[in-house]
Amino acid sequence: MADGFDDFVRSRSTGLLRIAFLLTGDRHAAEDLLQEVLEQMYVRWRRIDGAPEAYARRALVNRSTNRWRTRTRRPEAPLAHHDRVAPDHSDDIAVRDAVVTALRALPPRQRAAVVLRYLDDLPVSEVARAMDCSEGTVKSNAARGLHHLRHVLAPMSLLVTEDS
Amino acid sequence: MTDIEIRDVLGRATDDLQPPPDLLERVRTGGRRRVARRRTVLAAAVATAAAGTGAAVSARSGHDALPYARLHRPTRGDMAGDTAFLDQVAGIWRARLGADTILGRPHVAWAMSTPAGPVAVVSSRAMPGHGRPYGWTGFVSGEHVVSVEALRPGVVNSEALLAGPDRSTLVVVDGGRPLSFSSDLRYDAGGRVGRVFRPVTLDADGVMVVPVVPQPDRIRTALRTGTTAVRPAGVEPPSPPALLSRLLPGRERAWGDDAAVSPELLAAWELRQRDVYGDPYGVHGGPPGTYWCIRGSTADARRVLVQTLVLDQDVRVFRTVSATTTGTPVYLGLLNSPETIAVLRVRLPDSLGVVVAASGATLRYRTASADWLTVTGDAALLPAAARFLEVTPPGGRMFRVPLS
Repeated sequence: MADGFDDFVRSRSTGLLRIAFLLTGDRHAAEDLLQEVLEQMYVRWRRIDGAPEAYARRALVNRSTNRWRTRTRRPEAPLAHHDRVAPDHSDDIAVRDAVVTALRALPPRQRAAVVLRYLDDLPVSEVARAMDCSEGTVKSNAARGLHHLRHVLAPMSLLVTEDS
Repeated sequence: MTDIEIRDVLGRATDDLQPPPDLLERVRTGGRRRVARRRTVLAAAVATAAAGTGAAVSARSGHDALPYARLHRPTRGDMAGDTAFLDQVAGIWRARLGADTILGRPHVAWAMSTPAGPVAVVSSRAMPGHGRPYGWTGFVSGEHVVSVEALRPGVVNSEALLAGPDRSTLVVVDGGRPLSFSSDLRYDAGGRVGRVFRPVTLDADGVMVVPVVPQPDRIRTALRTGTTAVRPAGVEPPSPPALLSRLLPGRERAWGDDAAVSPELLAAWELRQRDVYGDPYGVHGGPPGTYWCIRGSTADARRVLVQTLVLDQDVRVFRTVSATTTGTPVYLGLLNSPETIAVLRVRLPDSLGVVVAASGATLRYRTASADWLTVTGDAALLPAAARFLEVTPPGGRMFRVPLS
């Protein structure tokens, strides 16, 4: 295996998992998606053009388009420890629930645009590469997605303000 | 909400997410498998083209490629041509999973005859839906669906089955990784676990069928790939017993303050921390109230440790008595306690006393001629003169046992 793959996985898998989670709405689906993409990159590592992270984001967006799931427990897997509610993080759980619900209501392209622009703080040009579209399309998708999120998540701003 | 607030809530919704600690290992394993399968598919394509059949073979990665070979590869095994059996198995599978959860006709990847009756490996696509995997796969033995597992990328599905009512037939199918198996385990004179592993040798259909020890009540056969245990299909690991750790009064004479007893020191004494005394490739549970670690001191300040190691009904008993920092464990054999609850009785050498224990019970003891004396707690080091132990289990009837 070419140099750098292990380092890439170790350093970027957390950030990529968070993108995958917001793209799929489900922790297990996000882990599946991430592993699938990383395996694909493992096979193609030497042939990846440009930044591996950009490749990974694009693969996540492409593969997540049809993988949005409701947040129900998978029937064949028991609860993992990370699925249990931590009683002293109820606000964060509420935030997560609201965010996932709000993103679920978005079409996949709007969702991807919002997640990549605002979770990962990517410039429009990078988001356009990940979504394989023009910068104008990114802006319009992000704007529509944001409009919905602002409407739905407005009560969350109280939680944000109190913690700031 | 401002852009900053949007960023903040997205961040808060994901801040605590961390990938599994073994992600890199899983990715490498799955990636190597993809590479191997790609080569296999390409080789098959070359062979097919050379044979002139004209069959098309896809070398794309992703959901259409292996590990979904169980969905696409032609049926193998000596019963592959038995269409009545294949239909029967497909019907059993569909009935078990429900017609509304599977997509299309179930596919029989393997169908073979065994001394335990016919066995099949079946797979099916899952009806698309929230939370569903790509497909399902599992073993069918006779008319019984033994296992149902999700088909997911990077996941190796069970490739081994202990078939028959006494699980005395080991069936292994090709899972793309080298396996070895051990029919049974043994204990040596020192109470250490010994296994002899033999490689799994697959026939041209990718199947191995071999007899193993009958094991109706507990799993004795073990499989592994490298140093990773492989669990047979349909076997859920039974619950191990809870460790009953007891620190006897007066132990500080030999061990010093509890705070001064380091983990390293305990690791040298406690056998459960040593691999040679365990069975990492087996599947074991154990009855409650049998897993003990009792630490105390003799009257002359020798360190005492009485411990048991539990593999199902086999409860191995050990004692260690030493005046020095380290001690040599002495294996005393398997616990033989037919009473309503397990009673541990270990007579120490040199008339140093008798260690007794019975989980949650009220204990009394007496010598040959004296009255019954109360014991504090459910474990104790009794004087060497103790001859009888009275045990009253929690909520149970009192009984007495000799301390020979």
